[in-house]
Amino acid sequence: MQKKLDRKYFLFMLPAIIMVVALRFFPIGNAFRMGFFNWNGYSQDMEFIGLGNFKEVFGDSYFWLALRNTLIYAFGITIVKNILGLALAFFVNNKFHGRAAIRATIYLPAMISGFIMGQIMYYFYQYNGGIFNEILIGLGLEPVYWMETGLGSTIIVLLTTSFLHCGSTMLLYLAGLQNIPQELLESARLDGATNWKEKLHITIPLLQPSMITSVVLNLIASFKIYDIISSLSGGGPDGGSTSLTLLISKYYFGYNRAGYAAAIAMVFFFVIIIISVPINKWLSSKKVEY
Amino acid sequence: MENTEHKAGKKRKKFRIWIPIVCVIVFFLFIWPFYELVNMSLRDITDYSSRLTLPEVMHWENYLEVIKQSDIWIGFKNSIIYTLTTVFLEITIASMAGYSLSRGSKKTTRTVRSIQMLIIMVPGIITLVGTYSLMVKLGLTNSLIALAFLTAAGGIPSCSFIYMNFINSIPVQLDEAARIDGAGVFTTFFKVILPQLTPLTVTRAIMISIGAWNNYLLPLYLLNDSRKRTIILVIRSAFSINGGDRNIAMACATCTIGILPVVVVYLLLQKKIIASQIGSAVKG
Amino acid sequence: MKKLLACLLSVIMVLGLIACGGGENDGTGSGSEPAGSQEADVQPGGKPTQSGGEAGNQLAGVTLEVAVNYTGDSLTAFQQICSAFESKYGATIVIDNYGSDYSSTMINRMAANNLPDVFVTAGWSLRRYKDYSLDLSDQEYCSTYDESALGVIQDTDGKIYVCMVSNGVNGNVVNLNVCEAAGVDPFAITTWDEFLAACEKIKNAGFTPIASNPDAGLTSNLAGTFLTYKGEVADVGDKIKDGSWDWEEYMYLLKFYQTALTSGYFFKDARSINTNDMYERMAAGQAAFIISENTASIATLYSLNPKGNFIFAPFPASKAGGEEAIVSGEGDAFSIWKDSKNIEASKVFLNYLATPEVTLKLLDATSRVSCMKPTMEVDETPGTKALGAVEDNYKGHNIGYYNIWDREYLPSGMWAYMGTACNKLFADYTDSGLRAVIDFLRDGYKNVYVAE
Repeated sequence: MQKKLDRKYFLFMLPAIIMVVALRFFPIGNAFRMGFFNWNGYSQDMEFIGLGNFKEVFGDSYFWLALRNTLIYAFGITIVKNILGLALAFFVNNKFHGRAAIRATIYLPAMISGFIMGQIMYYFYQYNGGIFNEILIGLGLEPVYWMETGLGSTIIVLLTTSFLHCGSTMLLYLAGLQNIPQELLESARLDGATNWKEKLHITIPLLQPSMITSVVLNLIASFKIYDIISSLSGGGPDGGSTSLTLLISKYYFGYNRAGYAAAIAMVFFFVIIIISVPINKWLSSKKVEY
Repeated sequence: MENTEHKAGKKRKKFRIWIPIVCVIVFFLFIWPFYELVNMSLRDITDYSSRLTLPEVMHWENYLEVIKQSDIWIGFKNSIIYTLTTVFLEITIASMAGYSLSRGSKKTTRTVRSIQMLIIMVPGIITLVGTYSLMVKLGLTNSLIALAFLTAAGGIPSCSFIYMNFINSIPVQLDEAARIDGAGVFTTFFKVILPQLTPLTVTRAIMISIGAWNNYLLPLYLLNDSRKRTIILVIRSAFSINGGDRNIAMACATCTIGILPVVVVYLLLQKKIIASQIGSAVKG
Repeated sequence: MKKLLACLLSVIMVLGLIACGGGENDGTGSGSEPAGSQEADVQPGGKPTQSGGEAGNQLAGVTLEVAVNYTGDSLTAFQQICSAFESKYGATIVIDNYGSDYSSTMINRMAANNLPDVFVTAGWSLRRYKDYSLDLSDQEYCSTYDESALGVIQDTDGKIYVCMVSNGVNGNVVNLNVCEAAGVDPFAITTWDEFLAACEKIKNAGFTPIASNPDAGLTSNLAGTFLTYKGEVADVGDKIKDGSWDWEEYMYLLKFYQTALTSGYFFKDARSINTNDMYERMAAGQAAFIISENTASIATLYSLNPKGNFIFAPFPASKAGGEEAIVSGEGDAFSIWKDSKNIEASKVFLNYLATPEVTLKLLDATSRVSCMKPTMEVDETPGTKALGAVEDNYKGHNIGYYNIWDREYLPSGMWAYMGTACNKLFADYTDSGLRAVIDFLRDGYKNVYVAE
């Protein structure tokens, strides 16, 4: 009976399995195969070149730059977003009039496409007539060339993304804060804990589950960052703020080097495996849902 | 610091002086990008004055001109088709999978769970590289439905586990009772279990819609027919610098109208959306 | 809960209604089928969808798919032309407007061997689209091409695959007001060295000499004045064509930019400036030159600043006695897919585009320069005027007219490499940086070069 039922349940999972296999596993496999060919993405002849593409990837300075930036984005955004989100969650958790409105405002930019937000934020960092520079000039200061270096642009993209999307992290922490039993805080206060001490020693440790969820979700999202870079810095100057996602699309669609782009995609895939396996292990040991 | 109850209350009251100030700062910081967008959209093409202040003459006619263009309406229509299809596919397939994960053999669940993280972490660009040439050959580019399938596949793994968690909290006795009444697994799920999950389904639908509506990477490369562009791509082409019209004000007006539905839906449903975000953080 | 659902659904429905309403309202102006019927994907050679117009039914029932890369005013003008054609001949035209994604889309349609009946060639009628295009040499308009056009579109065996109603002309753009304020006579500039000297004067007068930002055209379009044209510092045209070039001579061009960059002749943020921004600054009178722009940019600049004074100028020569150059490529140029099911109707359409009245309507919007003799006689459009003014402004200069450099000399995948290389140059213009640019280009050239 149960076996028969199990088979029926499996049938329920079949569409999902088919979708994921056809549209996730197959593409990965296909990209892996493409990585061994010299191919422009559309012609009939694919030339097998073995590990040629992979060898070239490791000698490509743009690849290393993009890998560095991808790691900066992934970990940097995760860290900054968590700090901002936690601070805002503490603030919004106070009881005051209009907190719902403030909460809604903070989350608003996270609802809009990263491409559009990047496009708007571009006009903040413009050198000539940019909004930040207008302010600096108004204060009698020299305008700053924000996007001058690759690393500088990377950090600007990082901070902008973190700022715009910290609303979602704030909500995660807010949920955690609301789950902390009030009695626990009351008793801490009875023991003479000040506001800051209370937050540092009692509240934050209690927020650990939210923190783990938030770190994992943000890491996943930040590895895929594409939209906002493409409209805010365009990956420039000279590829200085490009991420691997941008680099792959550039090689595939800009240079028509599908084989080489696939090889980079595979290297990227292995980087993700290397990072996700320990996280996965650690998470299952913590028994935290995400 | 002894008679705390009273003192703590007082202390918090004192602290409150800062709250309105921080409130105002936070509010303006997060509204600022939108202010600039609207500000730039109201300018004349020859207006280079500071973007901090509103232009002297408000050119509302920029909006009129955008509305007159067919592009933006085509964009809305395509975005709606694409979004609704994605929501339908993802919810149906993921909730079924979630049911199966919850009620089916635990071994399968464990196996699926172990590869879930990996699937979630694979960026869309890898999928794109692996499928693009094939989709071109099969003529599936410029198809909103094919794009919806591709998008839904990315969301199914995490969505089905969220469903699993919620279905876990529905007692199995309910299934059994339905079965005794002669309902098959299929009927049990769609007639008995799924209705129990309506709140979850609504919040998931909202989140998936927003994700699909804002999707950029996949539509960018898979939809290049101008009649199939989603709203994000229409906005992109308004800002694009190819061709004769370099009109930032018009592009900003297009952008404002383009994000309006999201903003309106968000403002109408903001309590719901925020609660769903908080809820999914706790439970899923 | 139900309220919420109802709310969401009603919002979606309202949006949907607005969308459909808007589509219908606008169907009339677009010349293509109403936006509302997007499900009915019209295939090349598709079935009749509509009966003919009043004026004539010569092509009644024929649906032509036309792929273009127009945006903005140019697109509007093209749509109007198509509407006029529809009502005259009773055919239906479906416009595929791929905008800035044109070339990648077309490459994929070529891969799937499913091209539109008529398509814009965007500069590649020979190198990229020849194998897919119909030989149009027997068409009447081919005998009316100007010499300048034939150099661009005629194959080595004399065949022509394209109906090109205009040239896309590329040179420098000069802001005369700034030059005047700085005491510089732009008409006296004949070499890049004199150009740099003028830049110095302009910089000392408090302006930024050059508004350009790094892109492929900034180096590629003027490369001929250093490498291949008559009397220039290098003459390596043959080597480039047979694939034996090692890119060493490219250093002349890089050195020119190195001087300009180290002397501060570009904007401080040149490496990240976007094209909109570049035009705004030029129009606002902050800069004197844009290197490598097409005639259409003059119209753009005037729309941004109607009081400005902008002219079109040739690229200077790399040394005294060398040839200054204006380069031109396929402008508004249309080919017919050789496997199209509507070849005859497509030919009628191209003939219609080639009539002077129609061409001029298009050129009014695209600001390109006509290149068919009957049209040239009556052409008064902005692009032609801008180019015509060059003859008057630069009397006595030795100006050569050439095909756009990369279309003539470089393999078809090279444009993206040229763009990256130019960005590299702006990021690092030390001597070792220049070396890196040359190495990068040489590698790219090896990657894409296919002996033709």
